[in-house]
Amino acid sequence: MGILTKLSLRSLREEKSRTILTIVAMTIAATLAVATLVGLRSVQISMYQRAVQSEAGLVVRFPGVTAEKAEKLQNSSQFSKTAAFEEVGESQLTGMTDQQDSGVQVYRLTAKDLKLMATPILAAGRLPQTSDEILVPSYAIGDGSAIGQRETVHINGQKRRLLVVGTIDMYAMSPIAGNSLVMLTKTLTGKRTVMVAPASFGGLHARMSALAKTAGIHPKTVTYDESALMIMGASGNAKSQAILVSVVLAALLVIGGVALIMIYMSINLTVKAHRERYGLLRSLGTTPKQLRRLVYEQSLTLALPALLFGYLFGIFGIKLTMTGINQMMRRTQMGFTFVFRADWLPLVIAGLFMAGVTLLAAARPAFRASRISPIAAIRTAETSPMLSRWRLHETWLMRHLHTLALKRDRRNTARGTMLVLLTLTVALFIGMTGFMHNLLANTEQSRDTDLMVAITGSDQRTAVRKLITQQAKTKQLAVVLESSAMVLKEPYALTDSSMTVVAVPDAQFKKNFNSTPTYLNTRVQGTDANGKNHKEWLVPPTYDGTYALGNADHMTKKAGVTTQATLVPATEEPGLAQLIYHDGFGAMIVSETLFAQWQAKLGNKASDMQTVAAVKLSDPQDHKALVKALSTQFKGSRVTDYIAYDEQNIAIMTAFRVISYGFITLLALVSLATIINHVFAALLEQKRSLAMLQSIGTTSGQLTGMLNLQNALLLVKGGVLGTLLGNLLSYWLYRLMTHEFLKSFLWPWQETLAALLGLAVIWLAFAITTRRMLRHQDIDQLIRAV
Amino acid sequence: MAILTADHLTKKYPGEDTPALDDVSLSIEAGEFLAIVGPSGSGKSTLLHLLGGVDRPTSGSVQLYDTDIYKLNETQLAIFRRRQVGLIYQFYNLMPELTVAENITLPTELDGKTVPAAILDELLATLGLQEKRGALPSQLSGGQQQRVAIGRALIGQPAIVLADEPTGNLDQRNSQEIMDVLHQANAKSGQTIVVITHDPAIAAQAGRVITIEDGRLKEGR
Repeated sequence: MGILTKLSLRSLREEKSRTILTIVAMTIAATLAVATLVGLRSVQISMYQRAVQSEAGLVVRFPGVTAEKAEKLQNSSQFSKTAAFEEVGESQLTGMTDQQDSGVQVYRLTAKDLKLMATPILAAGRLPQTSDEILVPSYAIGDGSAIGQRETVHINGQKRRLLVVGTIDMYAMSPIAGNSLVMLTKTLTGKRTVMVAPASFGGLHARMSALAKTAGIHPKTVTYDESALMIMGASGNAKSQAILVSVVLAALLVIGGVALIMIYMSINLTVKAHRERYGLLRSLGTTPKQLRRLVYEQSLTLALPALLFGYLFGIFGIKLTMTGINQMMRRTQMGFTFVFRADWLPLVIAGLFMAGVTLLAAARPAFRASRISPIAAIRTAETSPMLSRWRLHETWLMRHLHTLALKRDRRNTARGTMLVLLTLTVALFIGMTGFMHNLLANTEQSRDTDLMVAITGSDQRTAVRKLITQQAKTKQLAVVLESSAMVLKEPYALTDSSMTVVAVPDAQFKKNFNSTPTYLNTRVQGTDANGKNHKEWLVPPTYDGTYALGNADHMTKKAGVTTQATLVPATEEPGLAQLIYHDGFGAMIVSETLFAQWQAKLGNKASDMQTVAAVKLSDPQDHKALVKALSTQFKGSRVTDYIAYDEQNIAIMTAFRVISYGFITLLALVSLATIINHVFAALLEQKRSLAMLQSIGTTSGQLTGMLNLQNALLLVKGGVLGTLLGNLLSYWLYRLMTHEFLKSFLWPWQETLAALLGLAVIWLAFAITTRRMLRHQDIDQLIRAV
Repeated sequence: MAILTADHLTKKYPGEDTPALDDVSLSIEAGEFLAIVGPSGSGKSTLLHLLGGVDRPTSGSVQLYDTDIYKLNETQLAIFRRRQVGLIYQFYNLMPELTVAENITLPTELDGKTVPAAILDELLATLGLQEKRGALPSQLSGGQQQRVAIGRALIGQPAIVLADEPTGNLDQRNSQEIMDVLHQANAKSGQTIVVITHDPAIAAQAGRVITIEDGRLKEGR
């Protein structure tokens, strides 16, 4: 070990307090870097797994591969798993809904691959176990088809009767999902599509193209799930990769900026404190390069334990956060789980990042150290600050209060830097968390409806009402008949869109709606001439024209019904509003008699009619039981559980809040650590002058009071300025995002309180440390030491 | 033969009206023991620092052998100080976290060299610090600390040793011990030594004495 390394290590050991403070500050920066990178990596893996869930991770598709080449391809070590399927041809389903007209693709898979590929997309039923069993698209389970029934299927002109054993989710990403029939086969006979899950993502497209050539197919025929691969940064689209890299870089830039300032200030403080020592070393013949190396070495020596602690706290913190969020998500049955992943990549990046930031931060102090003149070893008095006349001016407060504390505070040249840093820290913390608070608060919507059920077909109003009132106590319950109509020509705002027609009892229609069809008008988001968002009525309130309605299913231009209607804001009919608010569109209210007449005139069938019930529960806890009861009694009904949605939203928002608040708090902590480090370092530097004050009769109580007042001045000024700026920042960010749908601005008083409380705790820590230090100070030794 | 020559040295500090050192020229012979005397603030230390390459003059030059030391860049000047100059300060200026032996060998180690144990032992014996080689400066008396500083100045066998009030912080007995060590180095190894002092008794022990007043060389013998 070289003498300078030895000197550097011993110096760090000697100055334990300063070393520990610097390591603590660096640890927070490292924790932030590790937590962010591991967090981003975990979110990336979680999102990828979610994206490829329905395709079992098989994101690359090699079509038209022969049996011989497929075997070779599937044995490649570049894949973690593979599967293959055969396209048998196109088929027709008989007796099913309208959509079978276009025909469906028929796919065959072996049992192993069927299990792998079909299990994630199985919507109902089970997997086929014999070759005369099939899976059909979920839409096909309608009037003419059901699980357990045999269906006639035409495959390439051949008619077969096959047993439907299950349905597949037709919207899943899997290539065998969609408008398709899936069958089991013992072996694949012809050319097949090989699906693979890559074991790694580096240079994926190039590697897959090379494999395509060996598999005897053109590389351009290979297809990829680009949206999933984009998440892993393996998309062929350079732009999407650039976006991913930009996100990581942006996060690192923010952390890097804060960490850089913090580490720079810590190292700079050390260099300043060691000015005399460096001068001595220079006078003894240490070259500037050797001194620079000394500073770099010292900085990296401090960064190493900080990084190790950062790994520990960052990984543990993210793991803990994810476990908490996952538990919350499980409770709300969200079906999404964060996958914790602390693999080598983020850890190596975090290590390199910390080393890079440390070296960068150390560059200027190292340069300064190397420029220290050898004469500094002797002329310590020259380090007195250059004070302007303004700083020397005695204020009114100085004459009447703790004069020395105020003087020292005013004449402290580093005070400005500290005040700016503290103000910015407090402002950013309050501003960002306050803004997040507003953003999250505005996404929480209050609802009039806890649960909605829609039953297609016959009038089920009595049965639905009975079941709901038996199962749960309700605050509000509306049960109506509904159908749809197409708005033709007018009113202009609704032209070519579907309108809900709601039937209310004749007596109610007469009493509440004056026996006139009434359009419950809603407000929707619109854009003014300047492109600014605002709310506007769906139908202009001044509209007094007719409503021309046609059949909703057939795009006829002939109006079946033309009527006048009263325009009423939906909010004035709370009982009915809860029925229609869910989609933001209004509804036409008519009597039951008129409804029947309109059904006939519009050419609506009984199957176009729905019984719709909207419930506000007295006890929201009842929602699960009620959903179960409704689903059981009214098979095929569509039940919307808003309470479950809200619970999921709350879980997502809480997760988002924890992550964003955590990130902002850690950022603020890095800055605060810098300030704490600075104040403590200044305190350690003052030991000798404090001892001198003690030696001339200042009591330790007076000194503690003086230092506490100095610290309080800094914290109060920073706290007040930061609070003002933070609140303004929060409001400004809110205004940038605001439109009429956002609720009123919430002043971030909780965040302000948290920030001020944090400052109070720091002040208390300063006070305790100062008191302890002064009580144990060896005045004699300090005064004599040079 | 002149080992070190100062030619028209002037040093003016920023913001000061009068120069700390005003047009001083002198030469120092190899093996000479020179004392520079003068009242406080007369420019003695300034001159010493300029001779040792610790500070840079406003004008003038210092030549060691044939090298104008102020034409050297920062790195070359540092290496010059490390190899050619031994500096001794009034307040010792030892590295508090290094032991006696480590403090003494510091300049040599900065040069990437290791001091042979025999040489170090001999020097420690000369300085009377054999028992203290593993001690830290805080465990030494003032006199002992100054002897360590002398050891550090002598270890690399520099061309010249510059001592700034080496006894200024010591009692009479310790002062004499320090002077004895310096004399021994001068007599035994022919070490060139320049001592700054305001103590006539110390100055009297030097081979030549020059006086400096108000930044100017007044007299010499």
